[in-house]
Amino acid sequence: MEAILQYVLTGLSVGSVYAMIALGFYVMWSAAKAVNFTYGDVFMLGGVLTVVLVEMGLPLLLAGGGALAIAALAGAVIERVFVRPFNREANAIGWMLTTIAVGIMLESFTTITYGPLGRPLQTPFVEQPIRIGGSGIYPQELILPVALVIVTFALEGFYRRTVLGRAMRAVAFNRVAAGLVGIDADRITLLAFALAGAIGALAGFLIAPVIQASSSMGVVVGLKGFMVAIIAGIANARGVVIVGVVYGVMEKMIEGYLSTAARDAIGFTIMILALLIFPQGLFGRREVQKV
Amino acid sequence: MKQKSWAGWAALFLLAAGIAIFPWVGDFIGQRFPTSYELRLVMRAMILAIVVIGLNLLVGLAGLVSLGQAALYGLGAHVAALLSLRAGFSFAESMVFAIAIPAVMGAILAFPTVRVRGVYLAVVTIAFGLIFVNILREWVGFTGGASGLANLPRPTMFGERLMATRAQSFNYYYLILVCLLIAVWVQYAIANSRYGRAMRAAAQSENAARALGVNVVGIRTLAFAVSAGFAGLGGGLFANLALFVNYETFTFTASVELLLMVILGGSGTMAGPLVGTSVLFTATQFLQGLGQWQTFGYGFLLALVLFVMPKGIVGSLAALRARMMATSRARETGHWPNGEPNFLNNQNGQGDGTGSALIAKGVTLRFGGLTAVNAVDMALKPGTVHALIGPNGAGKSSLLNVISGFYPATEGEVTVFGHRIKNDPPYRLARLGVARSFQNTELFGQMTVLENVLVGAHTHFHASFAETVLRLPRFGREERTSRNDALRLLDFVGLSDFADEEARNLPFGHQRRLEIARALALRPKLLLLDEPAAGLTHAEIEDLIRLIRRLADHGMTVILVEHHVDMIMAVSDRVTVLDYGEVIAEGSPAEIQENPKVIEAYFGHGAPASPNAAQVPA
Amino acid sequence: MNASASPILFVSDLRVSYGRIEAVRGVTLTVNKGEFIGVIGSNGAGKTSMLRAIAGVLRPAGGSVAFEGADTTGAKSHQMVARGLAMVPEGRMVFADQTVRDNLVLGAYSRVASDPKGVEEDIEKTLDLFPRLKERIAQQAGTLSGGEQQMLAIARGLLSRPRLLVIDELSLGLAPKILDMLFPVLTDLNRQGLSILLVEQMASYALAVTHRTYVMENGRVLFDGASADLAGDDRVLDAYLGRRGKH
Repeated sequence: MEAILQYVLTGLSVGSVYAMIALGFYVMWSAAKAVNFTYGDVFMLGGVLTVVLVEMGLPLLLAGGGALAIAALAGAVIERVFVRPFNREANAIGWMLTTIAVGIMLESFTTITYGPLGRPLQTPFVEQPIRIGGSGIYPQELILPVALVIVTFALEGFYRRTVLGRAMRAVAFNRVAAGLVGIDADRITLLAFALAGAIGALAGFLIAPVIQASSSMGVVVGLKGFMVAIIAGIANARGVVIVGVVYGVMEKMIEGYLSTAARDAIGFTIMILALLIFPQGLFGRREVQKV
Repeated sequence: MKQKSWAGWAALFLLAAGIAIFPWVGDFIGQRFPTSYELRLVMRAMILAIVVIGLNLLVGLAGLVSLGQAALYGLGAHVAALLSLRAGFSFAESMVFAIAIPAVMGAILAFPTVRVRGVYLAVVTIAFGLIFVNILREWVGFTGGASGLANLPRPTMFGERLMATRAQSFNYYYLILVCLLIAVWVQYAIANSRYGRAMRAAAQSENAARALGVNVVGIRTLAFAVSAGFAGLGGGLFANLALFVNYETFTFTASVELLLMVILGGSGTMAGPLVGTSVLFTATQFLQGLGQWQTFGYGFLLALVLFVMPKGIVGSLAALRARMMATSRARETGHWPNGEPNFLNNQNGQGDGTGSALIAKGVTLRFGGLTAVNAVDMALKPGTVHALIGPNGAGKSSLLNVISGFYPATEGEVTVFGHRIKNDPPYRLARLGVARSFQNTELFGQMTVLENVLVGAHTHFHASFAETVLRLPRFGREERTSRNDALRLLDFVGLSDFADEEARNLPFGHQRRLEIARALALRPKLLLLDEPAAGLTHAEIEDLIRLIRRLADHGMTVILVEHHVDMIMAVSDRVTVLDYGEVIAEGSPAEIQENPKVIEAYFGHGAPASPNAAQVPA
Repeated sequence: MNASASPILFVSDLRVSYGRIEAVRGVTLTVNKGEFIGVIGSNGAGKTSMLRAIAGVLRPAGGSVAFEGADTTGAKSHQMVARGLAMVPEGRMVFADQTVRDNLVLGAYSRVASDPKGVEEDIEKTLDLFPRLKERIAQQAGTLSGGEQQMLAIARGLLSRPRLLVIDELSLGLAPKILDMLFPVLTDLNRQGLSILLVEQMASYALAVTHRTYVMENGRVLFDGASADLAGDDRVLDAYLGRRGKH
């Protein structure tokens, strides 16, 4: 019983990270029908930059805020320079390759300047683990699901209540119509990538104290987040969050009851199967194929 | 065109000769060169080139981006290693499996393309790659985990030890070279055959390919399988060269590298994989000098290539060359229709007992709550032209899509030449003799005009894959006849002078002509034309009218969706008018013109027209 | 007729291509201040492409567009809105996943941040034109009927306070009953000083409400004239149904 509780709690924590990454993908995809494919590296920036800023003497929260701001800027720059020029034709995948290139550069640059090893980030919530049965969980890990809920509702509020959010939805729904009411769709897309950058960096900032911030922390998490988004049906925010959390819990269950080693092999297999059965994603809507 | 391919073969010959002489260069210059390390580099580059050629077939021809190719490469390597290490297979035996098992795996991987493409497919291939590496890393008992599989037995063939040493006359080196040349040949043989054309067609316009009888799923499965087979071949050769394998060679990064080689060289070009692999492999050796900046340099290079040469080295050079050649001569547009389409006759049997080319009974098509086509009945006599008209959104195109198999009817049934179609995919209908054009001309833009027409003849090829790759007589015969037929069709529509031009470079009116020629290459019994006159000038429309009439006179049945009323009146035998998905009128053109219901559907009520007012001399 | 003779829109030799497809082949057209202009012609005549080039959705391949005397050729759609030209697109394109009110707010996108009160007042005023929308103010736009969506699209266009309203295929998919409600609203708006350019397939409606009409075919203007004169002109019907009365 305690074991299950522990799997669920740690699963919720890691699942929240996947869900936040997947939300970032959702935000980008909605606006541009393209994403920063190596968005995991923006997530990594959130953790690494916080550590760097803290080491420079900034207080934790200020450092985190700074990391978020820089990551948002990075998101915007990536959209303008690497996505937009390669997203002119429908179904083009040029942006996939260019953003992979950016990811490679970001990650290797971080490895060179920051070092290949992870560095700890001290917060009051990783000093003492809470004991559950034989093993423990840090309070920091419990912050993640809370943060996810806040981010999800904040995003929903942003999309529903603010003019900018509505404009973003308008662009997502129909770029032409958005232009016809005076919305500069290109500018909105840029902002969406910046927003996604901040969300990804927030996840990185929150998980860094648990896993240590390293240059390689983003790759696999980013890919998993993207898969989660695709499996959920990338155009559905709630679906993306649900699948992210469920996938996290499922991973911990696999670790606990089947095999730690085969965790990803089993998890990815399930994802592929899910995609084959629901090609539009679990929560996606089937689009009528245009002839 | 001829000259160009000649130059290509000459370059390939020089390259092969250069590689063949390379181990012996030391004898000429009197130095210890190349060292075994340098030989090894060349061999690894050749192996990579084999894998890259396979990936080029997939990405460049079939337009499917795989980000898990390194896993198939690794699969070949591990199959070869495990079979010789654990099962004592000989080199040749293990190589057969090293090719076959990844090929089957590739075919399985193609299954998702039935349903997903683009980013979704990329995700599936990435996941496959990650699963593969995960298994290799963690299943220590079987694969050795991080320490891998070491001390593979040295391969032997015909009792000879295969090694790249002087004592063995560099036999393994030459074996790899031969494999590379075979790979180059197979790539060429596929690309210049109906298989390669179908792959490119499916990539450039999936719908048009399906409408012309290409089994898109089948052709993609083939592309995946062949591509994976090459990856496996490379993997097997690699394992027997290194005599050691572990997962680190086959990660996601390696997949990206392979893709980069394809793109850098020029995806879809014949020489691209060789150029891309050579350049990038050499660059990697230099980048190693950068130490920790190596990976960064890699990413930078990738970005640079995409910005500066999105078509790759070979692709950009070809484009440059084409631009320089383009000014050299003006092309003559021929008359069309030019001559009689007799050569299409062989299939156009009018009498098959039923007396109807097409019967639609109660055909209904719904999308969710929306009824696009509502209980439509239609019957077409063979050899007639039947127009389908109606205001915007009346359901004309939807009905056409049902008839050509793109949408299965929600209710009702369609019978074509006595064959009842129910959930038949478009390619099967094409094989029954139903051809169509598209509202927005769906040409294969990056294929030549002639190739476009040849895709139209896809269903008339019967040479098997093996016959095609080995260039056996039947392949040559069919290719020649089809080419002749295609050229005659181009003559018929007056495009002979443009045969080697890329379709997308044609002026619009010519594109319409080409689309019709391509549909005719199918030798259809029933031809569906979706707004063929849209965007044409008056003179072009006059020509189109004569063409359609001539086809009908030769027994072809034509369904025409059109807005150009002059054209409909001039060309059709019968007219069906749709409004809100329902048939509101049917009759001869003259009857339709005076039908008050039709006038209201187009004009609104209180239209300023009465039959009596129509006394204007024509 | 309302010919104050100074053009609010002047389109000269406009050309539009999609790739190699020439959809508009040199159209010249004028809308004077306060005028209600119709453009009619069958499907595929190039009417929509022309409008889209005027409103900045498409870049013209040639020719020029001048709005209120300034050259706006190639300006983007959001810039045209800012200049005072609003377009009601073909197919209405309401933001189906947002409420009627949010659609209206988005219509006033460029000034809602600086003048929320003014926008609220404008929304109320616009809703008075379309009482049916008032009842559905909190509903998702996607749940509206076709006619209501068209009302919403017009209302949304009006909220940018345009001086020229461009409407594409008002009648598309709408029942005559709805059209009989919509056209008088446009006439009223025009009487209050709004210039309107209406592209319409249903010729009889367009001819009944507009001052002048252009008849397009095959990417060109066949002829134009006072709508009242054209209403009885057989050439108009011929443009739709071909030369009739052949011997």
